[in-house]
Formats: sequence, C-alpha cells, structure tokens
Amino acid sequence: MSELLEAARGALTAGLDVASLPVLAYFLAINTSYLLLIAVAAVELAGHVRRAPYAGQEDSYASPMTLPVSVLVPAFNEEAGIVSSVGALLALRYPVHEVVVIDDGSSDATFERLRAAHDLVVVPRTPAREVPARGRVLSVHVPRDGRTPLVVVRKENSGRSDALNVGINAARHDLVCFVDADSILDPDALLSVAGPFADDPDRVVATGGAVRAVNGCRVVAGRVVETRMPTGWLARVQVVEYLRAFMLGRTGWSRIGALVLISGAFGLYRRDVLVEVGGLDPDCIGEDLELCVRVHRTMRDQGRDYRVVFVAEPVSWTEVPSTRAVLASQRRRWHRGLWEVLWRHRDMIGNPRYGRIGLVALPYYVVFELAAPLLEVVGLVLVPLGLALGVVDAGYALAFLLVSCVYAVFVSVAALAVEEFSFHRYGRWRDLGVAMVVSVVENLGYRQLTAVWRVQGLWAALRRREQVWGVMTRAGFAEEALVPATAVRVPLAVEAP
Amino acid sequence: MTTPTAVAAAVTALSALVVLLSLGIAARRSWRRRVDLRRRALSEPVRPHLLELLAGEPDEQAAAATRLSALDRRTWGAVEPSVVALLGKVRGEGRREVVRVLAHRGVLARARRDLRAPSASRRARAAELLGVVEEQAAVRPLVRLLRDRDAEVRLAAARALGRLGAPQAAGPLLAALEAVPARVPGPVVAQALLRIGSAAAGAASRALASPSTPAATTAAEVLGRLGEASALEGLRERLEHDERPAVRARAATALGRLGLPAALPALLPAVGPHEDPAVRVAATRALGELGATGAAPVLCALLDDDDDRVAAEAGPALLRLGAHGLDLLRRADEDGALPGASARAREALALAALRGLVPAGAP
Repeated sequence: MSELLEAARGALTAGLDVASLPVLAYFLAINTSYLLLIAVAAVELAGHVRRAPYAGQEDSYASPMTLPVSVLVPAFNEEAGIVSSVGALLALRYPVHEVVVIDDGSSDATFERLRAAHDLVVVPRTPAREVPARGRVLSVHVPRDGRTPLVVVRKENSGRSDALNVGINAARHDLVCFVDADSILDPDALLSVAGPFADDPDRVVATGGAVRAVNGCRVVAGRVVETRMPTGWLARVQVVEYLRAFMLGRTGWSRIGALVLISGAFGLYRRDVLVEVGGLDPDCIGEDLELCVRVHRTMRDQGRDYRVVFVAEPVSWTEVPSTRAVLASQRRRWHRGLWEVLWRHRDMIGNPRYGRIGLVALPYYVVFELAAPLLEVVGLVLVPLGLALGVVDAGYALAFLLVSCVYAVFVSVAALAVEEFSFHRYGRWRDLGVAMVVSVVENLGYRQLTAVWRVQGLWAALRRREQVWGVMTRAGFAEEALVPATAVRVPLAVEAP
Repeated sequence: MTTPTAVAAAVTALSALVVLLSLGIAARRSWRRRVDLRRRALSEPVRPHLLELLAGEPDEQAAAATRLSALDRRTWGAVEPSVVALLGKVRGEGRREVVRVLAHRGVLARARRDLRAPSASRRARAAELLGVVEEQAAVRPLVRLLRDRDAEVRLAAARALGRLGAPQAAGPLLAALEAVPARVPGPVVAQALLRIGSAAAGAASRALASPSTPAATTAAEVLGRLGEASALEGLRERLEHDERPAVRARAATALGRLGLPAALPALLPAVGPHEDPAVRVAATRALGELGATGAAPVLCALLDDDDDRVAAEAGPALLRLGAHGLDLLRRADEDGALPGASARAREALALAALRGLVPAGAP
C-alpha cells in the first residue's frame, strides 16, 4: 500500500513539476487575452459614445431608406409573457418592421392569449420553402384589422432552431431579427442594430446586439425603466459576467473583425444570406454559434468582402438563471454546443483560408474557451491531492491561487471601469459596490462550479458523439425539445467569462 | 529561488491596479454626478424660458429668446445642450428664435470654425448642428467635408446637406458614391437627395448611367421616390439595357413608383424566366404599383411561378389592379387546375378581405 502511495506521489511530483509553469503561463495568457479584448472594446466604445450625438439615429428613423425588418419570435409555452413581449416588439421605434411569432407547438395558452389580444384570424398562406424546415406549419394568423404588422405561425413542435427556420420562410422583409420570446428590447435597439446595414450596405451581413441580465431591473409594460442589480448572488455574478464577456468581449472581437458569435437572444441577419447558408441547423445544440460560423465560412469560401458587426448599445435584456440547477443545465448546454460547433468546423481551425476567423477566433475558442474548464477542474483535483500527499508546497499553491485570482479580479474591475466610462447603466452606488464584491467572490466557488458544469457538458458531447454517429440524431433532438421551458429559453451563447 | 518574491510583487502590483481602477470608477461616478447636479441647479431657473420657446405665444418666445441671449456664461454653458435639442422639437417662429439665440451666443460661428477643427468629432458635431439649423452659408464647406478623411464626418456632412436642401449639393453627394469604396453610404446619400427634392432630379438623372453601381442604384431609387416623370426614359433605358442586376432591379422598382403606364412595355419582359430573380421580384411588384390592367394576364401566370418570392408578389400586385385584378384572383382561386396559383390567389383575397377591399367572408 505504501509502495502504491509512494508511486502515486512520485508520479504526481513529476507531473506537477512539468506542468506547473505551463499552467501558470496558461492562466496568465487567458486573463491577458480577456484584458486585451476589454482594452480593444474600451477604444471602440469611447468612439461609440463620442459619436452618439451625431450618429444620425433620428435620421435613420425618419429615412424611407432604412431597411424593413422581420422580427422573429419563437415561442414554446410562453403564455405568461407573450402578449406583453409582442406588444413591446410591435412598439419598437423603427420605420417599418413586422413581428413574426412562431408558436412551436405550445401546449399552453400561448396562442389563445395572442388571439385574444390581437383579434387574430386565419389566413391562407403558402409558406415559402427557401430554407429547409421540418415542423409542419398548421396555420397562419394575422390581426383582423389587416394593418398591425403581426403574423403568428402555428406549427408542430420541432424545437427552437427549426421554428426560426419556419420564421425565416415566413419573413417578408430583407433583414431578419432573432429575439427570444422573453427578451426585452430597449426602444431604440432595433434601430441601432440595423444601423451598420445602412452605413455599410454592401458588406454587412449580420449584426449582434448586446445582451444584459434583466434580473433585478424594474420592468414596466415590456420595457426596462430602471437598471438595478439583482438580489441573489448567482444572478449578480452573471450580471458582471455578461458585461465582461458578452458585451465587452464581443465588442472587442467585432472591432478586430473576428466576431464568431451572435447571440440568439438578439441578432440581425440579411435574409438572403440566411437562405444562402440554409438557415439554422436544428440538430446542433450551439445553433447560434454554428450559424454565425457557417455564415463566415460561406462568405470566405466565396471570397466575399463582408462584415459581421456587434452593437453594444442599446441592448436586449434577458432573464438569467437564478437557481443553480438551471444555470448548470445552461452551462452544460453551452459547452456541449461549443464542442459540437468546433468539431463540425474543425477544418476551419488554423486554416489560413478563413483569415482571422480560422487563425485567431476559432483557435482562441479551442484553447481558451473549450479547454479552460478542463484545466481548471484538473487543477481542482490535483492541487488538493498534492497538498494531501505533501508533494505540493502549500506556499507555492497559495501564491499561484492568489496571482490567478487577483488577475481575474483585475480583469473584472477593468470591465466595470469601461462600463462606468461608457454606458454606466447601473446608477446606484450600492449596485457598483455589489459589482465590486462580485468581482472578488466569483473567483471563490462560481468559477469552479461553472468549470465543473462545462466539463460535464463536454463529456456529454463526447459520449453522445460515439453513440450517435448518424442514427440517433433525431432522438436526441426530440429530447431537446422536451427540456423544460426555463432551460430552453436561455440565450444560446457560448462564451466563457 | 525568487518565486515567492516575484509572486508577491505581482500580487501587490495587480492589487494596486485594482485599487487604482476602483478609485477611478468612483471618481468618475462622483464627477459625473456633480456635473449633473451643477447643470441641473444652473438650468433650473431657466427652464421656464425653454418651455416658453417650446410652447409659448410668439411674443413669449421672443422674450424668452432675449433672456437666453443675455444669460451669463456659466448658466448658458449649462443650458446650451437643451437649447440645441429644442431645434428638433419646435417649428416656425419658435425655431427662428432658437436659431437667433444660437447665433447671438456665437454657437453658429463656433460651429462654422469647427468645420475645420483638427478633431474629427468636433467637425462632425459642427456639421450636424449647421445642418439642423439649416445654415445656408455652410453649404460649401459641408460639400468639402464630403471628402473628409474621417468616415463619420463625411456621413454627418451628407446628412447636413440633405437638411439644408441645397440643390448644388446633389452632384457632389452622388459623386461621393462613385469613389471606391463609396465615401458615403448609398442610403444616406439617397435620404439627403430626397430631402433636397425635385431640385436633385437633374443630378440623379445624370448619375443613372454611372459606371458606379451605388451611384446608379441610388439615383434610380431617388428618382422613383421623387416621382420624377421626366426620368421615365432614363429608367426604362436602365431596365432594358443595364448589365447590372442591382441597377435593373432598382430601375424596375422606380418605374413602378412613377406609376406611368408607358413603363409597361419595359416591365413586362423583366418578369420573364430568364431575368435575375431580384429583378423579377422587383418588376412583379412594380407591375402592381403601375396598376395597368394590361399586366393582369402576366401577373396571373406568375401566381404559379417556381420562384416563391415572385409568386408571393403576384397576388398583392393583382389586388392593386382593382376590380379586374380581383376578378382574375377569384377565377384563379376557383379554377383548381394549378393548386399553387389557387393558394396564392386565396391568400391575396383573404388579405383584401381584411383590408376591406372586398366584403369579409367572400372567398
């Protein structure tokens, strides 16, 4: 027994000796990369804020040249909020837009509520077949007044992605906007996110809007009227996480021309491009990321000069999970999706043919997003083990932990600083204090928990791949559609803090 | 080994940075709050004058303008943004009073100087302001800014020229599209030309045949929206002979908007099966806008077109032809020979019923 222990100790010592420096370097590199993205974002946002007074928002609102938008809202059992969501979407400040609700075989009163609110009547409509869609369309409804730009498509349940494909077919306008049924958009959000299409009409093919956590905010009639920090710590951490990773991270990626993820909670695409790439893949879990990567792929394969742009302000608000169980299932899904997308497009990774996407963005996702939780979990196991066996110097371990934590705190506080100097949405001192505390405490528990969940997601993806290889896809997909609404509703964005 | 020292140094340095940043955040926040409070305190007594400018009788407006012109510098500094913002809200005499105040306070002179400022954001802001106050003397410098090295400045200048409605800006605005890449986006030029109105038609007609696609499409778009009947020949020429599908499609749309029956012979071939899909969709829609019954048989045939987009446009287009179109739609609906066409016809008829074009309930 003692021999075994001795051997284990020897192996561990050797392993840690070899690994300790590269691991330290890795953690420094990952945080430095976040910091760089935030710095790039800071430059971009400084320009954004400076330009706001002469950005011509009023002009694009008044312009007959502003491209009309079809806003697609997939809804699965959303009876509680659907009427106020649709009302708020119809009331968005935009010259011409229609709202297309795709009722994805809801078993609750989603449709009845809409029918009552808008006096819907059935119209015969031949759905376009430009994008392949599986779910059979049952009926199409419009308001009786014949004027309100609302269309409700009822279909058999087939999941969010397929519902969006049905929506793309039903959309009449040249720009298509994806939102979640429970997303809350700022009144000018559509105008801003459509802006790049008017400013660079020949090149922009897709834009993504920022997504923030609505938890804790005061919402009246489908509008956020006061921004506040939520009360629970789990949601508070996510507020800072969304700010740092989703808003500033993506602003940075967009600025360097390598944005590969547009959140499904708020993204705008040219309809003809969606048709060209065949819409969303209903079999892929990370469908938002997959779509965006496929758009990049198609454009680069055709040698087209194109742009994918992120707009940081104004924003779409989404409810983030406030319980551990829902958050866990969200993060497992995200990571599983990340793996699936990267595996599917593995030939793009490191491929100079795909420019910055192939050489920078995708390799970054592999090294710093996909692998990071794995390393973190390995560390979580090995370091205590090493301490117990006496092969790890407690002082060294503590120092390592301290450096990586303080650096992570620094990155978060830098993100808060950028927010303070640009949009400063959280006006109360209290909220600022909470955000500061979050920057520290997220390193003690939250980071480790999410790492574990993400590894679980990765594991699930790897296991599933072996089973599936060709046959089981549909079964897995059907199971996805049955996940409780709370889990389905979360925006599918794959990105780590 | 110096690892512990190095680690300690790193942790200390990082912690110091964290503290520094936190202080920076707090300082920024307090400063912003103080500025806000000060501005509010200074502008509070003046608010009634702003309201008078916004909604008062002409004599009240004039009195308010006089008082604003006489404010001390600090107070004026606090209310200047609010006064400028009034420009978007008031019309007529009130607006003239606001411009008078701005001129008196030297804001307009400063903006004219700022058109040459080294800072791009100052140039852009100045262009924006001069556009909003419709300062005619600024046309020439603004035209020059269409060639500015900063894209935002060029945009602001183009928008300002539109607001000024200066006919002499039409040519330079279209010329900005001919550079590669275009110096100003097409939609912005189009909106500016639309604001200039018929006076821009001459320049737009000349740009129709431009080798630059953005210039040609923008010109076609503008001529159609302005309803320039004189552009009929030029647009027909483009639709029939231009090699670029984007230009042909815009020309078709524009011909539809002009609504002149003389465009029919040019539009009919444009829906033919060998045309570019985008041109076919645009031409189908245009045939409806034209409202010429001569297009009815062709539109009927398009109800069953292989291209979903074309087929979807054919029904609403027939509706626009009035009684004759309705009649044909009803016949297509009843005649079950082509299921696709019947479905499209039913769709259009249902739409017509909702809009009250035909009695509800009628098939």
